Amino acid sequence: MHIPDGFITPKVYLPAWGIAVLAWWICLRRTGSLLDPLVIPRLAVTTSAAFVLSLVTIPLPGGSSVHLTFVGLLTVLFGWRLAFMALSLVFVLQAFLLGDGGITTLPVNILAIAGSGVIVATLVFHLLRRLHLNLALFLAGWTAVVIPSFLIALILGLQPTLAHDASGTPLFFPFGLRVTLPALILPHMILGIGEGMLAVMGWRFFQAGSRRSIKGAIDA
Amino acid sequence: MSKTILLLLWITIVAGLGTESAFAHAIDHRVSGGQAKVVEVFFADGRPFSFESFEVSGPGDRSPFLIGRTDKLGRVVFIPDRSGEWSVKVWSEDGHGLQTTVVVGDSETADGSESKAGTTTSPSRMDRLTGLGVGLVLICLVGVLLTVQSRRKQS
Repeated sequence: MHIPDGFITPKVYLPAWGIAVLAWWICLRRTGSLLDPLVIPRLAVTTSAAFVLSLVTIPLPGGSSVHLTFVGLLTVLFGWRLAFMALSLVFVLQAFLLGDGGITTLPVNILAIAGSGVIVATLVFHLLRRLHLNLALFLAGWTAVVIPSFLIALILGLQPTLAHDASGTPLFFPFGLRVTLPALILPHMILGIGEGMLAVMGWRFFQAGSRRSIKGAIDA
Repeated sequence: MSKTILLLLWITIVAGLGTESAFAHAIDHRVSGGQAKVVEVFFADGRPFSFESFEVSGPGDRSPFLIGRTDKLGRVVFIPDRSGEWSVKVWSEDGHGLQTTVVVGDSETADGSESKAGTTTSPSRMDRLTGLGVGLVLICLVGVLLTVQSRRKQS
Protein backbone atom coordinates (compact mmCIF):
# COMPACT_ATOMS: atom_id res chain seq x y z
CA MET A 1 0.00 0.00 0.00
CA HIS A 2 3.05 2.30 0.25
CA ILE A 3 3.07 4.73 -2.68
CA PRO A 4 6.48 4.83 -4.41
CA ASP A 5 8.22 7.95 -5.73
CA GLY A 6 7.03 9.26 -9.07
CA PHE A 7 3.45 8.04 -8.71
CA ILE A 8 1.80 11.24 -7.44
CA THR A 9 1.99 14.91 -8.28
CA PRO A 10 3.85 17.45 -6.08
CA LYS A 11 0.47 19.19 -5.72
CA VAL A 12 -0.40 16.36 -3.34
CA TYR A 13 2.84 15.46 -1.59
CA LEU A 14 4.16 18.96 -0.92
CA PRO A 15 1.14 20.07 1.19
CA ALA A 16 1.23 16.63 2.81
CA TRP A 17 4.68 17.41 4.23
CA GLY A 18 3.22 20.44 6.02
CA ILE A 19 0.27 18.49 7.40
CA ALA A 20 2.55 15.66 8.54
CA VAL A 21 4.84 18.07 10.42
CA LEU A 22 1.75 19.56 12.12
CA ALA A 23 0.49 16.07 13.02
CA TRP A 24 3.87 15.11 14.52
CA TRP A 25 3.92 18.32 16.56
CA ILE A 26 0.41 17.67 17.90
CA CYS A 27 1.33 14.10 18.86
CA LEU A 28 4.71 14.97 20.39
CA ARG A 29 3.18 17.59 22.69
CA ARG A 30 1.58 14.90 24.86
CA THR A 31 3.52 11.74 24.19
CA GLY A 32 5.86 12.45 27.14
CA SER A 33 3.05 12.07 29.64
CA LEU A 34 1.92 8.79 28.03
CA LEU A 35 5.32 7.13 28.29
CA ASP A 36 6.58 5.37 31.36
CA PRO A 37 9.38 2.81 31.77
CA LEU A 38 6.90 -0.06 31.63
CA VAL A 39 5.14 0.99 28.43
CA ILE A 40 8.28 1.90 26.45
CA PRO A 41 9.76 -1.64 26.07
CA ARG A 42 6.43 -2.98 24.83
CA LEU A 43 6.03 -0.06 22.47
CA ALA A 44 9.57 -0.59 21.15
CA VAL A 45 9.06 -4.32 20.60
CA THR A 46 5.64 -3.87 18.96
CA THR A 47 7.10 -1.16 16.73
CA SER A 48 9.97 -3.50 15.81
CA ALA A 49 7.45 -6.21 14.99
CA ALA A 50 5.50 -3.76 12.83
CA PHE A 51 8.72 -2.72 11.07
CA VAL A 52 9.72 -6.30 10.23
CA LEU A 53 6.42 -8.11 9.76
CA SER A 54 4.88 -5.41 7.55
CA LEU A 55 7.60 -6.26 5.02
CA VAL A 56 6.34 -9.82 4.71
CA THR A 57 3.97 -10.30 1.81
CA ILE A 58 0.67 -12.13 2.00
CA PRO A 59 -0.26 -13.33 -1.49
CA LEU A 60 -3.92 -13.20 -2.48
CA PRO A 61 -5.79 -14.98 -5.29
CA GLY A 62 -5.54 -13.07 -8.57
CA GLY A 63 -1.88 -12.12 -8.20
CA SER A 64 -2.39 -9.32 -5.72
CA SER A 65 -0.54 -9.20 -2.44
CA VAL A 66 -0.89 -7.30 0.81
CA HIS A 67 1.01 -6.88 4.04
CA LEU A 68 0.14 -6.28 7.67
CA THR A 69 0.30 -2.70 8.95
CA PHE A 70 -0.14 -3.13 12.74
CA VAL A 71 -2.07 0.18 12.78
CA GLY A 72 -5.06 -1.22 14.68
CA LEU A 73 -2.96 -3.17 17.18
CA LEU A 74 -0.65 -0.25 17.99
CA THR A 75 -3.64 2.09 18.37
CA VAL A 76 -5.64 -0.06 20.77
CA LEU A 77 -2.56 -0.89 22.81
CA PHE A 78 -0.89 2.49 23.08
CA GLY A 79 -3.39 5.15 21.97
CA TRP A 80 -3.44 7.18 18.77
CA ARG A 81 -0.61 9.56 19.59
CA LEU A 82 1.99 6.93 20.40
CA ALA A 83 0.73 4.71 17.58
CA PHE A 84 1.05 7.51 15.04
CA MET A 85 4.57 8.37 16.16
CA ALA A 86 5.63 4.70 16.21
CA LEU A 87 4.17 4.09 12.74
CA SER A 88 5.79 7.27 11.43
CA LEU A 89 9.15 5.91 12.60
CA VAL A 90 8.40 2.59 10.87
CA PHE A 91 7.52 4.33 7.59
CA VAL A 92 10.62 6.56 7.73
CA LEU A 93 12.89 3.58 8.34
CA GLN A 94 11.24 1.49 5.63
CA ALA A 95 11.53 4.30 3.08
CA PHE A 96 15.11 5.35 3.84
CA LEU A 97 16.67 1.99 4.70
CA LEU A 98 14.71 -0.44 2.53
CA GLY A 99 13.24 1.64 -0.28
CA ASP A 100 9.74 0.49 0.66
CA GLY A 101 7.61 3.49 -0.22
CA GLY A 102 8.93 6.71 -1.69
CA ILE A 103 10.78 9.57 -0.01
CA THR A 104 8.72 12.31 -1.65
CA THR A 105 5.55 10.36 -0.93
CA LEU A 106 6.53 9.59 2.66
CA PRO A 107 4.13 12.10 4.30
CA VAL A 108 1.29 10.92 2.06
CA ASN A 109 1.89 7.32 3.12
CA ILE A 110 2.19 8.30 6.78
CA LEU A 111 -0.95 10.45 6.79
CA ALA A 112 -3.10 8.15 4.66
CA ILE A 113 -2.10 4.83 6.24
CA ALA A 114 -1.01 5.68 9.78
CA GLY A 115 -2.92 8.95 10.31
CA SER A 116 -6.31 7.87 9.06
CA GLY A 117 -5.80 4.39 10.50
CA VAL A 118 -5.15 5.51 14.08
CA ILE A 119 -8.05 7.98 13.97
CA VAL A 120 -10.59 5.47 12.69
CA ALA A 121 -9.32 2.69 14.99
CA THR A 122 -9.59 5.00 18.00
CA LEU A 123 -13.14 6.05 17.08
CA VAL A 124 -14.33 2.50 16.42
CA PHE A 125 -12.68 1.15 19.57
CA HIS A 126 -14.11 3.87 21.82
CA LEU A 127 -17.58 3.59 20.31
CA LEU A 128 -17.85 -0.19 20.58
CA ARG A 129 -15.68 -1.28 23.48
CA ARG A 130 -18.46 -1.03 26.05
CA LEU A 131 -20.77 -2.99 23.76
CA HIS A 132 -18.41 -5.90 23.05
CA LEU A 133 -14.67 -5.71 23.64
CA ASN A 134 -13.59 -8.36 21.13
CA LEU A 135 -15.84 -6.92 18.43
CA ALA A 136 -14.46 -3.44 19.13
CA LEU A 137 -10.89 -4.70 18.87
CA PHE A 138 -11.57 -6.67 15.70
CA LEU A 139 -13.36 -3.81 13.95
CA ALA A 140 -10.70 -1.34 15.07
CA GLY A 141 -8.10 -3.52 13.36
CA TRP A 142 -10.28 -4.10 10.29
CA THR A 143 -11.20 -0.47 9.69
CA ALA A 144 -7.62 0.64 10.41
CA VAL A 145 -6.54 -1.06 7.20
CA VAL A 146 -9.66 -0.71 5.01
CA ILE A 147 -10.10 3.06 5.43
CA PRO A 148 -6.43 3.77 4.64
CA SER A 149 -6.70 1.56 1.54
CA PHE A 150 -9.68 3.67 0.45
CA LEU A 151 -7.66 6.85 0.93
CA ILE A 152 -4.64 5.48 -0.96
CA ALA A 153 -6.95 4.39 -3.78
CA LEU A 154 -8.48 7.88 -3.79
CA ILE A 155 -5.08 9.59 -3.92
CA LEU A 156 -3.81 7.32 -6.71
CA GLY A 157 -7.07 7.38 -8.65
CA LEU A 158 -7.23 11.17 -8.66
CA GLN A 159 -3.77 11.54 -10.22
CA PRO A 160 -5.01 11.43 -13.85
CA THR A 161 -7.41 14.27 -13.00
CA LEU A 162 -4.91 16.30 -10.97
CA ALA A 163 -1.92 16.05 -13.31
CA HIS A 164 -2.15 15.53 -17.05
CA ASP A 165 -0.77 17.14 -20.19
CA ALA A 166 -2.69 19.11 -22.82
CA SER A 167 -3.82 15.92 -24.54
CA GLY A 168 -5.15 14.51 -21.28
CA THR A 169 -2.39 11.93 -20.84
CA PRO A 170 -1.70 11.37 -17.12
CA LEU A 171 1.70 12.61 -15.99
CA PHE A 172 1.87 10.38 -12.93
CA PHE A 173 -0.19 7.34 -11.92
CA PRO A 174 -2.32 6.47 -14.95
CA PHE A 175 -5.32 4.58 -13.50
CA GLY A 176 -8.51 6.33 -12.40
CA LEU A 177 -10.80 5.73 -9.44
CA ARG A 178 -12.80 3.01 -11.19
CA VAL A 179 -9.64 0.92 -11.30
CA THR A 180 -7.89 1.87 -8.06
CA LEU A 181 -10.85 1.64 -5.67
CA PRO A 182 -11.64 -2.05 -6.23
CA ALA A 183 -7.98 -2.95 -6.80
CA LEU A 184 -7.00 -1.64 -3.38
CA ILE A 185 -10.07 -1.92 -1.19
CA LEU A 186 -11.10 -5.51 -1.92
CA PRO A 187 -7.71 -7.10 -1.02
CA HIS A 188 -7.49 -4.96 2.10
CA MET A 189 -10.96 -6.00 3.21
CA ILE A 190 -9.55 -9.52 3.29
CA LEU A 191 -6.34 -8.38 4.98
CA GLY A 192 -8.51 -6.51 7.50
CA ILE A 193 -9.68 -9.84 8.89
CA GLY A 194 -6.07 -10.64 9.78
CA GLU A 195 -5.50 -7.16 11.18
CA GLY A 196 -8.66 -7.49 13.27
CA MET A 197 -7.55 -10.85 14.65
CA LEU A 198 -4.10 -9.41 15.31
CA ALA A 199 -5.67 -6.58 17.33
CA VAL A 200 -7.72 -9.04 19.40
CA MET A 201 -4.81 -11.45 19.98
CA GLY A 202 -2.31 -8.64 20.60
CA TRP A 203 -4.62 -7.08 23.16
CA ARG A 204 -5.09 -10.40 24.97
CA PHE A 205 -1.37 -11.14 24.73
CA PHE A 206 -0.33 -7.88 26.37
CA GLN A 207 -3.26 -7.78 28.76
CA ALA A 208 -1.90 -10.91 30.35
CA GLY A 209 1.22 -8.97 31.32
CA SER A 210 -0.15 -5.63 32.37
CA ARG A 211 -3.12 -3.33 32.08
CA ARG A 212 -1.05 -0.19 31.65
CA SER A 213 -1.30 -0.13 27.85
CA ILE A 214 -5.06 -0.51 28.11
CA LYS A 215 -5.15 2.53 30.34
CA GLY A 216 -3.02 4.39 27.80
CA ALA A 217 -5.36 3.56 24.93
CA ILE A 218 -8.43 4.66 26.84
CA ASP A 219 -6.95 7.85 28.27
CA ALA A 220 -5.08 9.05 25.18
CA MET B 1 6.43 -9.39 31.19
CA SER B 2 10.04 -9.57 30.05
CA LYS B 3 9.34 -13.11 28.80
CA THR B 4 6.48 -11.78 26.70
CA ILE B 5 8.70 -9.10 25.20
CA LEU B 6 11.50 -11.58 24.50
CA LEU B 7 9.06 -13.97 22.84
CA LEU B 8 7.67 -11.23 20.58
CA LEU B 9 11.19 -10.05 19.75
CA TRP B 10 12.20 -13.61 18.87
CA ILE B 11 9.15 -14.05 16.60
CA THR B 12 10.01 -10.75 14.92
CA ILE B 13 13.61 -11.73 14.26
CA VAL B 14 12.74 -15.21 13.01
CA ALA B 15 9.96 -13.91 10.76
CA GLY B 16 12.13 -11.12 9.41
CA LEU B 17 15.39 -12.89 8.83
CA GLY B 18 14.44 -16.51 8.47
CA THR B 19 11.76 -16.55 5.81
CA GLU B 20 12.03 -16.21 2.09
CA SER B 21 8.92 -14.09 2.00
CA ALA B 22 10.55 -11.26 3.94
CA PHE B 23 10.77 -8.12 1.78
CA ALA B 24 8.67 -9.87 -0.83
CA HIS B 25 6.35 -6.90 -1.04
CA ALA B 26 9.01 -4.52 -2.33
CA ILE B 27 9.49 -4.09 -6.06
CA ASP B 28 13.06 -4.43 -7.36
CA HIS B 29 14.63 -4.23 -10.76
CA ARG B 30 17.78 -5.08 -12.73
CA VAL B 31 18.99 -3.37 -15.89
CA SER B 32 21.02 -5.18 -18.50
CA GLY B 33 21.60 -5.34 -22.24
CA GLY B 34 23.61 -3.53 -24.90
CA GLN B 35 21.76 -1.45 -27.48
CA ALA B 36 18.50 -2.94 -26.31
CA LYS B 37 17.91 -2.19 -22.68
CA VAL B 38 16.25 -4.83 -20.55
CA VAL B 39 14.72 -3.78 -17.25
CA GLU B 40 13.64 -6.78 -15.22
CA VAL B 41 11.06 -5.86 -12.60
CA PHE B 42 10.35 -8.27 -9.80
CA PHE B 43 9.24 -8.57 -6.23
CA ALA B 44 12.08 -8.82 -3.74
CA ASP B 45 11.56 -12.57 -3.39
CA GLY B 46 12.20 -12.96 -7.11
CA ARG B 47 8.63 -13.27 -8.39
CA PRO B 48 8.37 -11.38 -11.69
CA PHE B 49 6.19 -8.29 -11.91
CA SER B 50 4.38 -9.85 -14.87
CA PHE B 51 1.90 -8.28 -17.30
CA GLU B 52 1.88 -4.87 -15.62
CA SER B 53 1.76 -1.49 -17.37
CA PHE B 54 4.96 0.39 -18.14
CA GLU B 55 5.97 3.68 -19.73
CA VAL B 56 9.43 4.58 -21.09
CA SER B 57 10.36 8.21 -21.73
CA GLY B 58 13.54 9.51 -23.34
CA PRO B 59 15.66 12.40 -22.06
CA GLY B 60 13.54 15.57 -22.18
CA ASP B 61 10.57 13.80 -23.76
CA ARG B 62 7.12 15.12 -22.96
CA SER B 63 5.33 12.13 -24.41
CA PRO B 64 6.32 8.49 -23.83
CA PHE B 65 8.80 6.75 -26.13
CA LEU B 66 7.21 3.39 -25.45
CA ILE B 67 4.23 2.10 -23.52
CA GLY B 68 3.09 -1.45 -22.92
CA ARG B 69 2.96 -4.27 -20.44
CA THR B 70 5.80 -6.26 -18.93
CA ASP B 71 6.19 -9.78 -20.26
CA LYS B 72 5.70 -13.02 -18.33
CA LEU B 73 9.14 -12.58 -16.77
CA GLY B 74 8.41 -8.99 -15.74
CA ARG B 75 10.69 -7.47 -18.40
CA VAL B 76 10.59 -4.09 -20.13
CA VAL B 77 12.68 -4.06 -23.32
CA PHE B 78 13.43 -0.93 -25.33
CA ILE B 79 16.03 0.29 -27.80
CA PRO B 80 17.04 3.89 -27.00
CA ASP B 81 17.70 6.17 -29.96
CA ARG B 82 19.87 8.64 -28.07
CA SER B 83 22.03 8.91 -25.01
CA GLY B 84 20.96 10.39 -21.70
CA GLU B 85 18.75 9.49 -18.77
CA TRP B 86 15.73 7.40 -19.73
CA SER B 87 12.81 7.17 -17.35
CA VAL B 88 11.08 3.82 -16.85
CA LYS B 89 7.85 3.64 -14.85
CA VAL B 90 6.14 0.36 -14.08
CA TRP B 91 2.90 0.13 -12.12
CA SER B 92 0.12 -2.21 -11.19
CA GLU B 93 -3.47 -1.14 -10.67
CA ASP B 94 -3.17 -1.48 -6.89
CA GLY B 95 -0.32 1.04 -6.69
CA HIS B 96 2.71 -1.24 -6.66
CA GLY B 97 5.56 -0.49 -8.97
CA LEU B 98 8.61 1.67 -9.38
CA GLN B 99 10.12 4.56 -11.26
CA THR B 100 13.74 4.21 -12.26
CA THR B 101 16.28 5.84 -14.54
CA VAL B 102 18.36 4.02 -17.13
CA VAL B 103 21.48 5.93 -18.11
CA VAL B 104 22.34 5.36 -21.78
CA GLY B 105 25.87 6.22 -22.93
CA ASP B 106 26.81 7.48 -26.40
CA SER B 107 28.08 4.06 -27.41
CA GLU B 108 24.98 2.22 -26.23
CA THR B 109 22.35 3.73 -28.52
CA ALA B 110 20.95 2.05 -31.58
CA ASP B 111 23.67 3.76 -33.65
CA GLY B 112 26.46 2.74 -31.29
CA SER B 113 28.47 -0.44 -31.36
CA GLU B 114 29.60 -1.13 -27.82
CA SER B 115 27.69 -3.38 -25.47
CA LYS B 116 27.38 -2.97 -21.75
CA ALA B 117 25.54 -5.46 -19.64
CA GLY B 118 24.69 -6.48 -16.12
CA THR B 119 24.05 -3.22 -14.28
CA THR B 120 22.11 -3.84 -11.13
CA THR B 121 20.57 -0.87 -9.38
CA SER B 122 18.28 -2.42 -6.82
CA PRO B 123 19.59 -3.15 -3.33
CA SER B 124 20.63 -6.77 -2.83
CA ARG B 125 19.11 -9.08 -0.22
CA MET B 126 22.14 -8.45 1.98
CA ASP B 127 21.62 -4.68 1.65
CA ARG B 128 18.02 -5.18 2.76
CA LEU B 129 18.99 -7.37 5.69
CA THR B 130 21.51 -4.72 6.72
CA GLY B 131 18.79 -2.07 6.45
CA LEU B 132 16.49 -4.26 8.51
CA GLY B 133 19.12 -4.67 11.22
CA VAL B 134 19.92 -0.95 11.27
CA GLY B 135 16.20 -0.18 11.53
CA LEU B 136 15.73 -2.54 14.48
CA VAL B 137 18.77 -1.07 16.24
CA LEU B 138 17.43 2.46 15.69
CA ILE B 139 14.00 1.53 17.12
CA CYS B 140 15.70 -0.03 20.17
CA LEU B 141 17.87 3.09 20.58
CA VAL B 142 14.77 5.30 20.54
CA GLY B 143 13.25 2.99 23.17
CA VAL B 144 16.37 3.18 25.36
CA LEU B 145 16.50 6.98 25.09
CA LEU B 146 12.81 7.29 25.99
CA THR B 147 13.27 4.93 28.95
CA VAL B 148 16.23 6.94 30.29
CA GLN B 149 14.28 10.18 29.83
CA SER B 150 11.20 8.74 31.53
CA ARG B 151 13.19 7.42 34.52
CA ARG B 152 14.89 10.79 34.95
CA LYS B 153 11.49 12.48 35.05
CA GLN B 154 10.25 10.01 37.65
CA SER B 155 13.30 10.48 39.85
